Amino acid sequence: MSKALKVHIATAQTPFRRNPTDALAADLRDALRRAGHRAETVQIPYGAHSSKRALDHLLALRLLALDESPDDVLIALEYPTYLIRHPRKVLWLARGASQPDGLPGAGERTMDAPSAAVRQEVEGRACREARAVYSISAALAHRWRKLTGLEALPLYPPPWPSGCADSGTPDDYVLAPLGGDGSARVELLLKALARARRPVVVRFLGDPGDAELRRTLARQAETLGLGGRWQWSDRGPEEAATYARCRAVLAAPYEETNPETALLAMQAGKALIVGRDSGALAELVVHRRTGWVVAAKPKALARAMDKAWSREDKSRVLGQAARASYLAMNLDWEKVLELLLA
Amino acid sequence: MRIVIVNVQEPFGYGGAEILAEDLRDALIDAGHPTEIVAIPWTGHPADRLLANILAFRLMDLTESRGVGIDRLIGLKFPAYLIPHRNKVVWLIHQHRAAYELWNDEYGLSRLPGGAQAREAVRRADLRAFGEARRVLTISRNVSARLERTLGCGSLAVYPPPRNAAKFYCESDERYFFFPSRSAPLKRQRLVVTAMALTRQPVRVVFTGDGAGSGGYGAELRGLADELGLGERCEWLEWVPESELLRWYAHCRAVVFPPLDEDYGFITLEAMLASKPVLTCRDSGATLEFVAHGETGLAVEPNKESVALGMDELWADPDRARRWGQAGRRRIDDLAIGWPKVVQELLA
Repeated sequence: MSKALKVHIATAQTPFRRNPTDALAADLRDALRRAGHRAETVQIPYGAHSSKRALDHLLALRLLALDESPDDVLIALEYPTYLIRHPRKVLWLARGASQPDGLPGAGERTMDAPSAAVRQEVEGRACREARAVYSISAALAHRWRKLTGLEALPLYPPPWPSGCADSGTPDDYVLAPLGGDGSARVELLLKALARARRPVVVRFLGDPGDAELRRTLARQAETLGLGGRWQWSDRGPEEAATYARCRAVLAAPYEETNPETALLAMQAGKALIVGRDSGALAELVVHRRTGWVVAAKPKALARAMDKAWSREDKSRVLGQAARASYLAMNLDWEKVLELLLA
Repeated sequence: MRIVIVNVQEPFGYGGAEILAEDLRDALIDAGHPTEIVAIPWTGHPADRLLANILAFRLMDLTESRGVGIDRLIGLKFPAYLIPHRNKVVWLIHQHRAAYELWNDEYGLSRLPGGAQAREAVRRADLRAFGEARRVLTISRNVSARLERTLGCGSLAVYPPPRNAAKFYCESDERYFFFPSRSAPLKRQRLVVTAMALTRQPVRVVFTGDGAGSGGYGAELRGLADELGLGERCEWLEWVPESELLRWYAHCRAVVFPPLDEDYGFITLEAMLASKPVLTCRDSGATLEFVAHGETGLAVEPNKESVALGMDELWADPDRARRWGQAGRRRIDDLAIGWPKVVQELLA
């Protein structure tokens, strides 16, 4: 191994709100430690402020210093952490979804023009200080370019859990993993389920602590008369098995930037049904080769679910192709670290 | 009340301050207040960077989080407590010691270019931060005394409870002294090692702490012990899990803990909870708020001869050591240090 480094992985902290990027930060930290480096995560406080406070906060972050020696590295995963000056800074942009959190200007929609100009200048400068800029998906790189005019190279994170593979005879459900940020368009999925002609059952996979989401699901499902055609599974230690036993994976978030659901489905050898506007998920699916990429409308999603349900053999073939495609991507932490620490 | 505890995160450090912040958070949540820790990464050197960092912390805003107000800010250490807030309470673990009592120490600001300017900036920033706080509390009378001496700022000492206080127990004396601190010059393991070479009794000391491994101060200590021919009289432990730590406390004859001007010293309280006497020094700071010389342990002069005499005294009379340990336990029980009182003072 090359020389052991001291690596800080920075994410944003908005008190009393969960940050999904923390999970990636923890995975990256563990990968660095396995590779023999010293690594820890740090969190930078961040919340939406008025124009003046936003600039004050921006200046505060520009004044922070984390480096102590030439062997120190800063890997910034999202806004505003990449504002920190560091002689060895790398951006691996991880935040997105359909909310603007994690990218420049998130939450500060009312900033006056002069302040916005200052912010843009400072943010641009901070980004250009980086040795390299990566993003966890092409969709996120695209958003980044639109907002900043700068390029980011897609670098997919190896998903967890690893080794997740098709278990054989699938159970009777289509798996619909949900993000915690309300971007999953749950109502759309339920409406699609209501229009399915086959007796499709959808199992939603979500945060065990999200009681509000479960209540919303139950209410909407009742309104649509779905009865027992929807189920719930908690994210947790059994997640890999839940992927492994499904017939297909369904996900249609709007302009998703996190590829995790697609990568997990591919890893498990499952065909993925996604919306055409689902960003990082759609970029990983080849229509009718590794899944179905359809209009994000109830009817189109329903037809895809019907196909996945009634043509088990076809689903299996698409799933196997998805897994082959995943293996060909050759995702592993060693390669990720090689790029981030170059 | 929505509460944020603001602390600093020093690179790759995890110790008493972090444990205290976590336990405080849990106590506040148990009392019904949503609470989070915001630990901002910070490295305190060199001196010119200190000025920029002071400004950075003064510019930060923790008055709200995405439109939801933060009702109280509790600051624990420099420079975290510099962050402005209309309802800020400082529960001071310690000031930036390099600017105050350690000014002339090898780690003090006096050794660095621009040190005097940095010290003045720290002093002014502290005065402002403490002045704007709703209340200033500290973790010990020693820290309060320093604050009064250096800045003329009054404060109330509110003792934090040791983690897992109920788990400490006392069992048979297995004939060793226990020094359960991280290895660092300010903790003065070196003083104890050099004293061991002068004892008349066959004193054994078990040292623990992450510096007991290879490299740095730990390696220096082990080299010194070898040089002095102490052999198996010194035992060096790497990191030990809690269950083993409790056991080491339970079976020792006494705890040796002679740091220089300690802010608080959870070790002292842990020893007392385990019904063990404590050997400390007269300049050890807050340990002296708990150790009563000749009643619950010994407080000796900070030189190797006096420490050696103290170790001999404790070693030679195990019955008296046991009685002093029991007296220490009664004293810590009488003090009734607990989280409800801390929460009450912080939220007053």
